[in-house]
Amino acid sequence: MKRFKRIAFGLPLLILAFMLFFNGGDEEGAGTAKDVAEKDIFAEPTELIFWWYGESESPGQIKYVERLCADYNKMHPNITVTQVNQGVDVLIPNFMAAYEAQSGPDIVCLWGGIYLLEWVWQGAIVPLNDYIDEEELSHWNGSKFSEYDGKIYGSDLEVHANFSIYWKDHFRDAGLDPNKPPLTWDDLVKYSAKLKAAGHAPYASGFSGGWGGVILADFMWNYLVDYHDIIKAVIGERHFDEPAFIEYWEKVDAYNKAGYFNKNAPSIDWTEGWNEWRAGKATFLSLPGQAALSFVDELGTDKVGYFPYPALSDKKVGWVWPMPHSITSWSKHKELAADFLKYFHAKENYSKMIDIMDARILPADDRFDPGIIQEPEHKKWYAKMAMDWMKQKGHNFLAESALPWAIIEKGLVIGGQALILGEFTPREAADNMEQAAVEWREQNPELLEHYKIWAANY
Amino acid sequence: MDFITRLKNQKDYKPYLYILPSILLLIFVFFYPLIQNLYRSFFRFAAGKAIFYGLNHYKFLLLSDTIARRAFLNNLTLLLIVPVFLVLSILFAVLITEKIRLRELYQTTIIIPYVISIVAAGVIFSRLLRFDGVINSILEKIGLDLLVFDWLGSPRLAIFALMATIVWRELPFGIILFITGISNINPEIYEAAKIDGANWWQNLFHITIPQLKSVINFYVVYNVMVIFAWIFTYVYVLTSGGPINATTILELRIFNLAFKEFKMGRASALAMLLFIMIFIFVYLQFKIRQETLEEV
Repeated sequence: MKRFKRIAFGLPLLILAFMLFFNGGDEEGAGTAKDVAEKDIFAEPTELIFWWYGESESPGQIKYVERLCADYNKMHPNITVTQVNQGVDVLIPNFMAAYEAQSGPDIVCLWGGIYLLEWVWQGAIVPLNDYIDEEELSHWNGSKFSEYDGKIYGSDLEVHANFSIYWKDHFRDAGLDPNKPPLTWDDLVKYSAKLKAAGHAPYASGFSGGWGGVILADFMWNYLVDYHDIIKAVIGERHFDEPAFIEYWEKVDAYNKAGYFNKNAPSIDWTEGWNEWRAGKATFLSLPGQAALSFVDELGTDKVGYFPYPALSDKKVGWVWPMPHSITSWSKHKELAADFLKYFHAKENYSKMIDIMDARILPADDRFDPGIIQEPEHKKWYAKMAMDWMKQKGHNFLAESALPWAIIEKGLVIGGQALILGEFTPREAADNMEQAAVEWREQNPELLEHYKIWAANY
Repeated sequence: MDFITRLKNQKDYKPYLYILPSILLLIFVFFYPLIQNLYRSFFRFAAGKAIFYGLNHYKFLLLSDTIARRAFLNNLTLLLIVPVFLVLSILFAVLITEKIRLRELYQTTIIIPYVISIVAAGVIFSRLLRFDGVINSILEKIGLDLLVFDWLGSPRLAIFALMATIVWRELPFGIILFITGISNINPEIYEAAKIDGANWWQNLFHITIPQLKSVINFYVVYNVMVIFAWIFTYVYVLTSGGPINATTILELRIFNLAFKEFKMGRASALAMLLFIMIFIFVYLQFKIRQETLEEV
């Protein structure tokens, strides 16, 4: 009986052991670019699977992506591109599962900056240089956002710029000129005092989910430090508790203590802050351009004004976010995927994007002429501004794109909440951020080495 | 008798063959992920490589991870819900099983919160509890300004706001469970007690609650598991763990480690610690139950 029991227990354990040790995906790849180039990649019926985050950050974008896929299919009837809208919350967990299984999408959008590069360093993404010629790549003016060690890992479907909007009625109530938005931080503070006195909460935000703090850093840091200063602070060559960084926390602290954020900001999320603004409960709102433009379009320029974030220094800065899409290392159709990614930049798609997206997102390509947008004025302003910012080097990407998540979470999310709730002084918030960077370096020696290689380009 | 002889003897191996599919299924859906998770907890995954890391993840989580420590304390704080669940469930169940007017209506409506999705409940409560939410508006209108707080925005109050939401949503399950338990109590016991002159409280404490002992035991174990392992959605929707980690729980920490910091090894180690913790709680609970039954 004992022997039988042993076998009864042993057999399942043996099966378990087999399952454990033979669970990896195979290494069968797509072959080298050269091998593939020799055959007609459009000859066989093929399906490309394309995962992305959908349109929650950019209303209407699904329609544009569907149109791109359909038009590509018209050009190459054998090729079907299936877009899978994974949604913002589940894209990363699902992609992680795909990475573990080494199976899933051929193309994926992972937001760009460090968000994307961490996957590049995990070996989940392949460089596009192997499949797309350098001349073509040289036109992609957002490619710096997805570049690592001289290789480009993403093709931008679009770029959006970020700016601020305000209620003109509130300005009138406060005795301010509705056509003169604040140009500097000092202006913003002065305007906010008048708006508060007139009974309006000056600035809409939300810190509950933590993004309110991240977004403020995104907008303000570009004036106070350079993008490469942030990168240096991550690798330890500079420090997040230096005066330039502390100044950010001091300004936010003073603004908060003056009561210029909406009162419910600590208990709502940043995007709920948008609803507060939309309901007229606060005057200013800073947000991604595509969402800001939809408010301007909906409410009209007689009611809503728009402006770039008020200056904290005399630096020429911008706030753009290209949206790179990449090829997975396990894709069996890499060359085909690269061709589809190249199609993002085809000239014939520019007018489609402008028409379908109503100019709320723009092609991240230097062959795009914002002059094709004729009217209305705010869209011309937006397109020109976005293209100008794309050309600026060093001060135009949002700060968070240079930060690993552990530093964002502890430094900006938790630190931001603690400062707003009065649990941290500006100094403590800065120290906390520096501590987060130290911990990240200690716990991620391999990623740090990759990060340093990336940093060398900035 | 050797194994071959046993195999030849149909009476012996047949039962094992019958349960073999279930055993294989169990291995696939339970033991395989568990052992895979344990295996991963000894590795660090970086730059596409798995690096053996020994017990270092466990060491870090137990000694240095302040967020995990905070999450554990928050989970312990949330255990305060268990007695609340118990008292309210028994009380409502007893009241509903009394011969009162509109009893059927109460029995039907009481289940409504439980059939509402957790996400919807979270959204509703986030609207109710935020600083400018309905609850504070009502308090202001009836002159109770002193009780107007930032329920979700304050690090001291947010966890209680979270508790209130969980209690509202999960309580009906307990009530239904105890209604079923009470309906199984032999009515003759109450009749005998009535003859002896027992009042409502005496019935409750000397008949109803002792008769519900096994249901109570199950409910406590179930709720401990709920608090440790099944409240992620509430936290994710209502507070995302904030403010300042005041509502971060172990499940959320595991999620953030895995899918935001990409530390799958450390997330696996924390998942193992959580598993062990729940296992110990449940084991102790069963042990106590066994001792109680033996005493009886």
